[in-house]
Amino acid sequence: MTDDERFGAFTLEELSDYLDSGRDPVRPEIDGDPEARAALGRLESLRTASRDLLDADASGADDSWITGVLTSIRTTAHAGRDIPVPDDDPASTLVVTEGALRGLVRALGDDVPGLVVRRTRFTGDVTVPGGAVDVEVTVAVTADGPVHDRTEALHVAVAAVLEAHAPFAVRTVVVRVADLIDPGAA
Amino acid sequence: MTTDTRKLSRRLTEVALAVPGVRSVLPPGPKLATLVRDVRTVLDLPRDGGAVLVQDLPEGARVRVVVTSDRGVPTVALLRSVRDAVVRGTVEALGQRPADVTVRVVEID
Repeated sequence: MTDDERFGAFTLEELSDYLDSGRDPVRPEIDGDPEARAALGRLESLRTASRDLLDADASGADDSWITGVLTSIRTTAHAGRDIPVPDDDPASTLVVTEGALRGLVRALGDDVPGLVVRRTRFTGDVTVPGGAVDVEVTVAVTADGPVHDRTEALHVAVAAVLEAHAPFAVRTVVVRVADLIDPGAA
Repeated sequence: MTTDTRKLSRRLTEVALAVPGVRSVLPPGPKLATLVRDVRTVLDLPRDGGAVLVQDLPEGARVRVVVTSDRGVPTVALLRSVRDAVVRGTVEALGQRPADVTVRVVEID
């Protein structure tokens, strides 16, 4: 299994995000996809098994070790591609994971009322140090207010934050509204 | 390399944690595919060393650092600061630069 593999119409990253959200808001397109549903079940089992194994095996071990391992599992499940940082030292490899940047964009979405980031895609020279990259953020919004103001707020925030944190050159940022959701869900 | 790798790991973990903007240092995890195949691999992570992985190779020390960081500090600068700190820490302990250093940011909060 590779991290880019698709299960039905969805990547592991999308399914993982969906699990993280507690399947809320519900995404019928995922729940209705048999392959995606089966993969969701396996991912869920993996998370439960990891926790159970750690509980059983690590009782008595120090808390920081357990916390570190659990965080390591969580971030591994979200890592995506390694995005290299341009650097002159041939003995060094400096990397930001795609998952770290996606998490950052998701957190920016949480700061915008009535908006949920569903997916963030980086395309272009992502694995080339300093390469040019297009960013597409797919969101769902509530229909109880102007959509443009919120997507524009997210657009500005994403551009600013990636300028500060991404090791690539941001070529474009597109915020795409894919869905309208119940105001209580965002 | 004659130094105890676990002792050096603990020292380099402290060094990385001291870099402004580093929130935590994590043990490098296995790849997701490995994890799905055999979740017990995570239990192979050393417990009495630090979170930084230090390997003693014929060509010198190989060091792997995985950190989570604060979004208030630019990530690229933070990566270089961690690298520089870890290289300094290794030189102090071993008297020579590590042969290979990898620093990875996996979460920006």
